[in-house]
Amino acid sequence: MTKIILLVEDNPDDVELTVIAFKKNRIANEIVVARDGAEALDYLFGTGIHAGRDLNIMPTLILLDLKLPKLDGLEVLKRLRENARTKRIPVVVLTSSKEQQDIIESYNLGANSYVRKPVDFTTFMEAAKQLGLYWLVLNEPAH
Amino acid sequence: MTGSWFANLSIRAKLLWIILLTSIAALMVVGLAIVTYDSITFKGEKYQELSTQADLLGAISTAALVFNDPDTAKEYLSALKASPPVASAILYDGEGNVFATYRRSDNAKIDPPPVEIDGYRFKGDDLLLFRTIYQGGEAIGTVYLRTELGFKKRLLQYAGIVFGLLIGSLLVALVLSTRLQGLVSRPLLEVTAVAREVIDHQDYAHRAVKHSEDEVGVLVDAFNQMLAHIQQREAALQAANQALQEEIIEHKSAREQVTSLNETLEQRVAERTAELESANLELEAFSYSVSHDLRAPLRAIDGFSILLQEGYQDRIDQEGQNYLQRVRAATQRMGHLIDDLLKLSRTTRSEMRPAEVDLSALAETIANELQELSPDRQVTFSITSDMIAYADPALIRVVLENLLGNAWKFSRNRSEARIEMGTMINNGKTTYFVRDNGTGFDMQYADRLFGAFQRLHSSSEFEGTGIGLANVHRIIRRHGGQVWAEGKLDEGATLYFTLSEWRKPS
Repeated sequence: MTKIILLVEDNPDDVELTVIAFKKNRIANEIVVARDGAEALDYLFGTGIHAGRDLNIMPTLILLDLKLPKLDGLEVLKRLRENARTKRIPVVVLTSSKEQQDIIESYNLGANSYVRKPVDFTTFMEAAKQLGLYWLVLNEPAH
Repeated sequence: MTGSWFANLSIRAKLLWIILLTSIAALMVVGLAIVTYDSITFKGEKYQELSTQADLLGAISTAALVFNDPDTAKEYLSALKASPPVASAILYDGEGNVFATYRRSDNAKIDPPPVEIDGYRFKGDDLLLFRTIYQGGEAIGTVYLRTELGFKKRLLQYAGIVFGLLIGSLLVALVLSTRLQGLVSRPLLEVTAVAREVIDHQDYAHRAVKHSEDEVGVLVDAFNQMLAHIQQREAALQAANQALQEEIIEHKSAREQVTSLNETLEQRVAERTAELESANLELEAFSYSVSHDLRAPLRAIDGFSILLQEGYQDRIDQEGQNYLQRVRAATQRMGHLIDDLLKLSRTTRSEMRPAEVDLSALAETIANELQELSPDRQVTFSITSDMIAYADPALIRVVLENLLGNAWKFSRNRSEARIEMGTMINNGKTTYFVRDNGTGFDMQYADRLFGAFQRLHSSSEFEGTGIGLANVHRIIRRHGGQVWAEGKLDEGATLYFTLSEWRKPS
């Protein structure tokens, strides 16, 4: 069973760069992309466009942007932490913001990590490598 | 009221008493004078009478004495019966022996006194008289006469008359004075009544009527003048009171106006505060948006530039590669600028939480951090110990990071770089300073040091966004302090700052 990464990101450039960054680091896991908060919840709870999805398959890691259309990242985080199926999935907040209030609020809502997307793509690739190595290889998730 | 009972009497009673006492005194004096005069003349008359009788008796008794014939002498003496005032008489012979006696009534006791020389004297209510009888120049005997004057009786009569007169004249005086004293007391009583009226009703328009030109008239005039004066004063006072009242009303209305203005002002302040808060919120949203949205395209530019550089290496020549490198550098720089701008805006927005801060320890920490970042550099730090300030710890850290970071950056061309931080008293205020022996600056641009994006060095010389000192300036201003710089090109710079001393807890 492959470990799935759920990438919640509305910016197509960022989606592509993130996917490339993982590929270039030889992280071959399947990456499911949700373009907004609602779509992310649909995927996680098997509703909307993801109705009927096999809910036994859950992502091993969620990469969550905060600034999203419809439902923002913090709201998504809150909802998935309230649900028994999703509450133990590691969530890494991956965002542009370095605002203290965002960081505090994310941890308050149960984020496992907070990584700021650097402007420098080489740095970003390094971050993607570290994240993949840590959360997909080293970290032991709860099943 | 003080004084004797007399002083407290009404003027009417006083006048009555004065008239009565004066009348009594006058009558007493007159009565006394009359009685005195009468007693003197009465006594003189009695003496004359008695003296004549003694002479007469002596003349007719001469023969009886010469011939030693007491019976005849007694007969002569008996003739005194016709003169009732003589109570007793005695005839003495030449040797002073009793020769003959007489008494008017038998029960009258006769106790013959010894012969005295000529003269008279009063004894009790009696007049005694001795008269020597001469015969041819030789004393042959003495006559003694005693008469009862009835003086006391007469005096009593007089006293009765005087008393009667006194009573009579007092009655007359009482009637007269009752009638006449009105002339004196009525004007006074009138003035008194007016005075009482004035006092009771506070009405100074009353006037006393003047009846005469005497002292009471003068008093009435003076009283009326005084009333007129008081009336004027009262009017002036009332006018002043009126003015004062109006002033008070004006004052009150002014105060109400101020209060209403204050309320309006408070309302406006509240409105402005709300506006400001909403503007702040907007600004925050804007900053948030900037930090998110402005960086995302930069990431894309940088990311795809790299992908171009790496993935299409064979199709892009060296010049193209170079251009892509410059695109990436500009992108990074833009990223730093955005970050610094956000820092600056955060400096202005964040809430101040002042506390005691050990600036010395903080400076040491920052110095160590700088050294760790560039372990190759040889910099001598000299930081004064125990500099304690009252400031927001996070913000003051930004200040020291910038000042020490600048000193570190601009002294990197020195083989023996020195950075000093200390304190001094300037114009009575504790002033902190950070000094370096670095590249310094031209003093004519000193005022441009603290403006945002203002730089005195090119980016190729020294990197930076020109935000650091602008940030320092804002933070120090928020602390109620001042910041300024001194420097000389190629000799180093000193940055000074103060913190508001009143913020220190006592």
